[in-house]
Amino acid sequence: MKRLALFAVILAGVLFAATASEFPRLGAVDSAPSRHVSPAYIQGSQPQTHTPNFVTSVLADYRGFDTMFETTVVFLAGMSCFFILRALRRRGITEVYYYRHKPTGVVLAMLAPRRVSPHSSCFERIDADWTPQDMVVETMCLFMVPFIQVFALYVIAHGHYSPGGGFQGGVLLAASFILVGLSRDLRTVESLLTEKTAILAAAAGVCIYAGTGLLALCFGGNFLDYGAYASFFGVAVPAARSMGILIVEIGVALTVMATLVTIYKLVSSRGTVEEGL
Amino acid sequence: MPELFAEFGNKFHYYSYFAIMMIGLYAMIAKTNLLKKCIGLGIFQTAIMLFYVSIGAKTGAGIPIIDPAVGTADPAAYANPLPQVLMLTAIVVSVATLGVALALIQNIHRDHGTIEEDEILQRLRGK
Amino acid sequence: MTAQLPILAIAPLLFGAFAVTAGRFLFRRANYAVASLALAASFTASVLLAIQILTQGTAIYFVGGWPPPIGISYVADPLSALMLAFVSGAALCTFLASKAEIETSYPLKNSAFYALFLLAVAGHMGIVITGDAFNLYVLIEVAALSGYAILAQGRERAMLSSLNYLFVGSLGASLYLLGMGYLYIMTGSLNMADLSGIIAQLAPGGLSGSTALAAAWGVILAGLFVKMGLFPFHSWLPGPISFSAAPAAALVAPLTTKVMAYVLVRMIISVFTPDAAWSLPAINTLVLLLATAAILYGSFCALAQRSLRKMLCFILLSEVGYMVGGAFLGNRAGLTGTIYHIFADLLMTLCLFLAASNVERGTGGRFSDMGGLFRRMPVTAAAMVMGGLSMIGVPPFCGFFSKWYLLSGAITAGSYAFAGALVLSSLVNAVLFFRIFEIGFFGTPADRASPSATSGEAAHRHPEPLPFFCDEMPAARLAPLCVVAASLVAMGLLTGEVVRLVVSAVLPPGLG
Repeated sequence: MKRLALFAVILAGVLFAATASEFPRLGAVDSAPSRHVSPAYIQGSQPQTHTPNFVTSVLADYRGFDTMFETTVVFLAGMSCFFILRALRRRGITEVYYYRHKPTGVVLAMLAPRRVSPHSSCFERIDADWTPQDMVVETMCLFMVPFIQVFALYVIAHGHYSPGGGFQGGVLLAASFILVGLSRDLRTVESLLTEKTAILAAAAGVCIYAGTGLLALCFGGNFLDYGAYASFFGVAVPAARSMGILIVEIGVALTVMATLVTIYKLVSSRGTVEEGL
Repeated sequence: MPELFAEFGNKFHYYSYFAIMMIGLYAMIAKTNLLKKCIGLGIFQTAIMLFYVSIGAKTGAGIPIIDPAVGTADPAAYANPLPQVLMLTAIVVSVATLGVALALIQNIHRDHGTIEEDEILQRLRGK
Repeated sequence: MTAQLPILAIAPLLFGAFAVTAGRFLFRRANYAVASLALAASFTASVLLAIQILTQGTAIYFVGGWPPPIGISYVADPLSALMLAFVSGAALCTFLASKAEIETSYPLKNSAFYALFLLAVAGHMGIVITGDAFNLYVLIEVAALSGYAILAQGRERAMLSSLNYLFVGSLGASLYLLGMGYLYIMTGSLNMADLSGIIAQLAPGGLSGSTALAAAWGVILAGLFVKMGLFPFHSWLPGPISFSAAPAAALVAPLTTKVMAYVLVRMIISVFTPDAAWSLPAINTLVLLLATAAILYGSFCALAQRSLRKMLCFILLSEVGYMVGGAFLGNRAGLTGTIYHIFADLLMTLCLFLAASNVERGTGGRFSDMGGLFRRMPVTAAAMVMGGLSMIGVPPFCGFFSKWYLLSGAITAGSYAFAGALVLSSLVNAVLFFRIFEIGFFGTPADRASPSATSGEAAHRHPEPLPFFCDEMPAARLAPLCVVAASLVAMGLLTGEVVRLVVSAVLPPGLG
């Protein structure tokens, strides 16, 4: 079976390589893609949208409809993981909660539904595979989190002028939450960004994007035509487009952050969101 | 012969992308471990993304952000932004697919205790 | 307002998905109503759009206000407008007929299912109406991802078959992306109308003049065949559809294969003109061979099945063979047959899957459990009879007319193998469905108690006198099924209008 697969794959590779005879060479300046639509993007981006970064203007304005569905795909991934993985009803598994008595180091295992109050001062809840927390690692990681988040917000806001934008900034924001989850534990992340808030934020992000597009219909333009806002807000059309790009990037970042944190919580805890990595 | 070498020199990157693509395809077809199939899918999609992004390269061009010293009069001074935008979308789609695949694999492991496809099929046939 | 109809057909689904997501925490009881309202609004907008396009002609909608090829365009021509109405109508019927099934199959996760359902429908509708090749890829992935998730819940093997579907589906979509990359590197454009103009310039004598364009066509075809389940890329199809819960199967089975066949037709008509698409005889003969094999394989495997849903899956495989073969016959009648069959088969498959989910609710779907069922569920029985007769190809049902066009196209093109396969599969369908009718009408309920009795012997025992309607589903659940069954007849009677207004309007006039 493996030999057959290897033979088939090599044959397919040779066939593919044979089709490359007409392709332009690497770096050709006069190839069809370089001559056809992209000069319009390069030359029109600054005058039409006040965005020096061509990639952002193409992503969020000229081909903004693709990006809206891309954001929908991200939301869909979060909802799919929730739908597939979330274990809302325990399937007859006995739940055991582990509590560690901080002064003495004694660990208690309690069967559900008996629990210790979370506000208890001398007992802390630990995972089944708990190891002593390293104070250096935990403190340094938590110290870095605000800086990561500020940088993420900068990446989102500065996407017009430097490489960046909603997707990149959203991933950095999610990374800051995941860092908290790795250095502390999953329950801290759940208390910082609850499941309900994350799902609502993901839906809200795509709603911001689609809502911006739909609102443009009310002002006389087509869907996702940010220029229609110009007359209502009293600004020039390129400035309105630039502002529209910023608003949809914020929506994208919100969705990406919420979805990635949700997927991390679900996958690392096998759907229970109780004990994680 | 020299033309063949010149041709290879001009097109070697396409051949390398197809080689990477075939490595990913082999992993998807021949491996029985479900996670290795996921990795193979990722490699396959990465090769296609490399193909698209290399379309946008131009000799002597800079990144697609306006350089005030150069201006926008000559489009050949900037790399083509369109393939990069398309591949941003494709990367996000591939990550979303990977997330859903991992969720499914976790559930399969919970139900069957293994993620080797032949063992799972044996178990199901045995029932 | 009427100019914005193309986007208003899809926007309610997106906002509905977000509303039911928020509604999980805020107004849980009203979620079903909100989702139904979103589907109904989308259906209304699609019907209005179809009426507008059929009376006034093709409309092109510039998303974002940018003209193509700089921006993305939505092209509403008669074919896409009618397909849009059919897809949203099919989704609405499935949703309305499956309320009780959804609540039992997906406990505690109803709102997530509604959101995934709405986004799947939005993805399929977007595929139908888009005019941009890369937007098509993104929407294929939207539709597919939601499909992978909702097909994963059901019987025991549902997760593994859904994962297999994920791998194969992603492979197919990536192959389509690669093929489109070939087109982009040669032409520099992503817009479908623009692409057809540039391809005609680059390869005026047909695709055999340009290796890269011919390879693009081959790779795109490979991706589409993988995604629609044409033999030999069909192995992913029976698993998810037969093991998943009924509402998911009733959504995915009619829509996915037909929408991908629509994309194939769109590639032939709008991106590569029919002359260019049919200019490689090697590919034409190979595809016809695969289509014939698909029809025969699907028909004969369906004969061997013992449960209703699995049988319907294999019938679905042979229907894919009909559509692909008709598209590659190389003449007008064949392509007309394919386009008409996309609509007809959507209705037939929907009718049969809804009726099958009713039957499964009562029994469990295996033939040995279905004895005498039709006397106890007469409305479902009537719908299944109508669907079966349409599949066999009996006039005035729509299945007859699509087979008529396909057969005449096959005979004109001289592909007698394909014509023979069509006739053979009609006969096999007749055997399959009359077997079901025999068990349903003349079997006895005692067959359920004694699994060792074969259907043949027990069928001739004296039937027990049971009252009518005793096992039938509530009226609210039967109403969509009746509408779909009635539309089978209506579609058949309106064949002339459909072909004249829709099909002939989009085919190029010089097509032989």
